[in-house]
Amino acid sequence: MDDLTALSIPELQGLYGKRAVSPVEVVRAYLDNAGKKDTSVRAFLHLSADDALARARELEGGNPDGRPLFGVPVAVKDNICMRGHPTTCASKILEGYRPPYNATVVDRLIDAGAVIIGKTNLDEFAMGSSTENSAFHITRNPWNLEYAPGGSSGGSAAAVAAGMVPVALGSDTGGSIRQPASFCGVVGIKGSYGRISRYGLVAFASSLDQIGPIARDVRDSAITMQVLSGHDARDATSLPGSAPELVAGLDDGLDGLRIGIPAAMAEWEMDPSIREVMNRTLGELRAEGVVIEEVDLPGMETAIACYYVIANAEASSNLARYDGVRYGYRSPSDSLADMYEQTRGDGFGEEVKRRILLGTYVLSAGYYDAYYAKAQQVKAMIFEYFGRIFERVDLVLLPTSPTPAFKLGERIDDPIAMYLSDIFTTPANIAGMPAISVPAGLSPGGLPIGMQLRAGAGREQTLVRGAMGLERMYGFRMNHRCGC
Amino acid sequence: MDLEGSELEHIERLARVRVSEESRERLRVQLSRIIGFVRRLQEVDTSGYSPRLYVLEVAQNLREDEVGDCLERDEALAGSPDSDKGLFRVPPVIETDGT
Repeated sequence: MDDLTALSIPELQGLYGKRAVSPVEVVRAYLDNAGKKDTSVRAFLHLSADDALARARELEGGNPDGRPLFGVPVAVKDNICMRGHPTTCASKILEGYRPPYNATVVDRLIDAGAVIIGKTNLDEFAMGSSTENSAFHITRNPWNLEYAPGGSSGGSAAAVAAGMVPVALGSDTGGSIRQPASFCGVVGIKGSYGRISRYGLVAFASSLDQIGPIARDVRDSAITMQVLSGHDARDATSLPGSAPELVAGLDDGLDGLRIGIPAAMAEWEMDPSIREVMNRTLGELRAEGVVIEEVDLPGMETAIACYYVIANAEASSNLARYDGVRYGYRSPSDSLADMYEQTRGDGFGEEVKRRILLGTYVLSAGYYDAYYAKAQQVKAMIFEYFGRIFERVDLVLLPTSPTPAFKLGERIDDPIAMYLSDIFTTPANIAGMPAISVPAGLSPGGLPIGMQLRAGAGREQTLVRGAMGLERMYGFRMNHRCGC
Repeated sequence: MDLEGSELEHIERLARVRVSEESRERLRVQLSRIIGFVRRLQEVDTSGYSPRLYVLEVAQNLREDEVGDCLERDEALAGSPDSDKGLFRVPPVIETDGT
């Protein structure tokens, strides 16, 4: 048998259908890969090999029909609850915590036949863009171990890029699926706000958070997205009705799609390699006869300032629950008030404290209107902008990140430089739009570059169809192999 | 925009987060820079826009108010750093002067 870990989900399903391969063989092949590669990449916080093999044995001889992820190994970001398994959010404050329930997405994966093999590293509470803010260890980019995998879903993106799993779940509050997908040369989708249930996702910023898939190609991502999507009564923000069918129309191509590009892009700061890929993409799209139109996007730095006010305000409220009483870590103390302050002071890492304090500041008396209420007005403007844009075009194309992966340690002491690495991704969260990152090429230094598509809220179908068209055009997986 | 040391201490108390003495000055400088960065919002002309608190314009979808499964008490307490007789145990809430 060829390398089982090179197969796509449909190829794997084909072999399962003919009983030419068994779930145990496939899970073992991926676990072997993880065993070899994760000593250097360190994508996983917890690898549950025994549980995964036990689950694969349960599936042996089972019927894959109607189970689109039958026997497919999946990794889950460690801010998503799995009953009885550690869920730390890469924070000391949740060390040792084992949730008594499954997130809805975990139940959906299991119902679809997936085999969850472990929990992946992240920036503490998903706050960061490099996975260096993990309280436990850093993760390295499989394309070059001196570089960051991006973040906050850096463990999930690195695990997929290194072939330790074909699919992983991430969460995206300001770009935390798309930016690491771009840095690691894989595909990442953030759906419309409310498309995927967040029941069991540890909350960071509730008006922005979405769970989504990271996979090696658009089809595998769409198949997984389909499994995860749909209404859930346990999440009050879950979209009603059924989710759009994503897989059937994937091959419809770019014909007839109107694609918008940012009119002000020439003035945006970005690495020359990113600009080069963007220009090449436009040239090829025009050659294929795709209609390209310039659109006015909201000011990027304004959007990111708006994002950091809203995200941190919500985080300061959401993270109030870590009080040393009901779960996780507690610092010893003689009084309750002192116990709260000491527990949170010792249990949270520096970036988390920075964000809680900033969020508390913008919500505090005297500053609320100037920062928080103002940010909500800017958000209303951003909505209106995109509303107008998606009357004219079907998709907006832009890079996922202004740079390829940066070196480990390079930005960790400069919070604003780190925040600006999300400059192309946050508007999709603010306006609740679906967006995807597709690997497009390599920088001269051999690091992946991702291109991003955004669609109007609810238009995931158009999004993945467009992404599939780009993927065919780029042929990234045929031309480039991750060395790790 | 410089955050005063006393302002930082006030926010720490509001957030119930204790910051170590060694890191307080660095944090004050970083927060001052970040606040300076997000202040650019105030230059944006947002007249005519009301604050938008919700994300998508869909009706509130509340579930039926029916009794469902809930956690058993032991499960709910299992993650607690300190529990006793089916309750969470915490340090004294009402502080006395020791008399």
